[in-house]
Amino acid sequence: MARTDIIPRGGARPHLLYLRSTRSWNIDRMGGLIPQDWRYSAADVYDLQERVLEDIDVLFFSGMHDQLFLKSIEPKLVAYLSAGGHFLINGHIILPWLPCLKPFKAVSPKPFTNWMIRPAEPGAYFGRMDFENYHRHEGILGQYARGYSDAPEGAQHLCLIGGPTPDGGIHEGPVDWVWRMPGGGKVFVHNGDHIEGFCSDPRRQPNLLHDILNALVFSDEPKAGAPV
Amino acid sequence: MTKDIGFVTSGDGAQLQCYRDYQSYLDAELYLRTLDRVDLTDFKAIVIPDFSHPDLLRRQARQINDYLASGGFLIVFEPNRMDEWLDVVEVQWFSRETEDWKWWMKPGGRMEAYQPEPLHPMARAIPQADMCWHFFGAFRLPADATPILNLDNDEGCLMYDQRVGTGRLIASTIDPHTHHGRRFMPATTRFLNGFYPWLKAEVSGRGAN
Repeated sequence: MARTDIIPRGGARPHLLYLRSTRSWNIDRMGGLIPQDWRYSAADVYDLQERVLEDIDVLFFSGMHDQLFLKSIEPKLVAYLSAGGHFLINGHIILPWLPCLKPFKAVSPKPFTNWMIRPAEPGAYFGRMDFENYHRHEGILGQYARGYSDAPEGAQHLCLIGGPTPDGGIHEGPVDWVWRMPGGGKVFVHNGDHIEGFCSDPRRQPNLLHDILNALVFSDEPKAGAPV
Repeated sequence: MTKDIGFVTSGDGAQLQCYRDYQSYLDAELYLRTLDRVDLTDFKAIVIPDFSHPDLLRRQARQINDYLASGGFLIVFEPNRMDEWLDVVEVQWFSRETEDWKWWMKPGGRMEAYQPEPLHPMARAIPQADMCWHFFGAFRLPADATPILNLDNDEGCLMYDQRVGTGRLIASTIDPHTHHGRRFMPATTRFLNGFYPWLKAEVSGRGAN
């Protein structure tokens, strides 16, 4: 549910800062993908070391980001989260650079249905998506994601990936999840390459990226006060 | 040169994953942002994987060029626009799209490339099927280079091996690390499963030339 009492850190409009990184896909497209009634800024990821973040609502990281660098400024990023700033993180985390992140885990691509994305608690983030199709790229499975990462306790598991394993077990997990730091901001993680590549062109409705961003800043999901 | 292979990383998740997967063949993970603090001449070979950070490559270009010029063995994968920052040897890269990136979905489909005869030693270690998924442009083949993988009709070269003074350059427009590291496209995993054992044997003097 959208809350009307939230005042963005950016002022009258939410402020998203896109961090340019290693040959980020969509690097020159982002200004057109972020809602036009938001404030949008872009900066080199290495500028984070010095940049003041108090007027930023969402830090957006592409699937290709320098995890060694981000780990080196972890205290600053945790302070931003503690103060109510939000993260939208794409990519495979190999070196967790926030305390709430865990390493990526691939699921078996066989059977192919393991790569079909299913709803868990999609909420305001994915609730308007057609789960049969929204995650296919030109009809192909797997471009969206090939695995997941474990989410912190209290996180909202939005979408699931995985399924049967060759040894007869089940291996599945949250490919997309969002967690709220108690008393702080939220961390949205897409364990694929670039969430903005799916149902996020501004001519597309419903619009996945817009839904995710609005849910991050304005929804009460996950609820404040959820278990740590 | 006391170590065999240094792997340069921009800190991207796929590159970090590749280093972990092939660590038994690699001597060090070298952070591109601070590469100027590393003596590259300690290494017999330096690998610069696909999708490295372009600005950082330009910033560290002098050191990488000096390594090649002083007898190092440099392996660079595109897309990295090595033609713009390698200056001790001319690299002529040109734009060329893969004809049909979904060729593998079609019965009898193939990528428009072949391994020229006589096969380069790397091509003897890695079959053609494991070098084909897609590519990022192509090279004009230098007169003194040995092709490893060519476009059909020799329209351009996708991978070659060239002596540069006492040094050696392998240039590639295929991009195995970003896909293997993201757990997508099994051919890229098969390529790296062949490439790193081949490279390790090559630099430790056990290669079959």
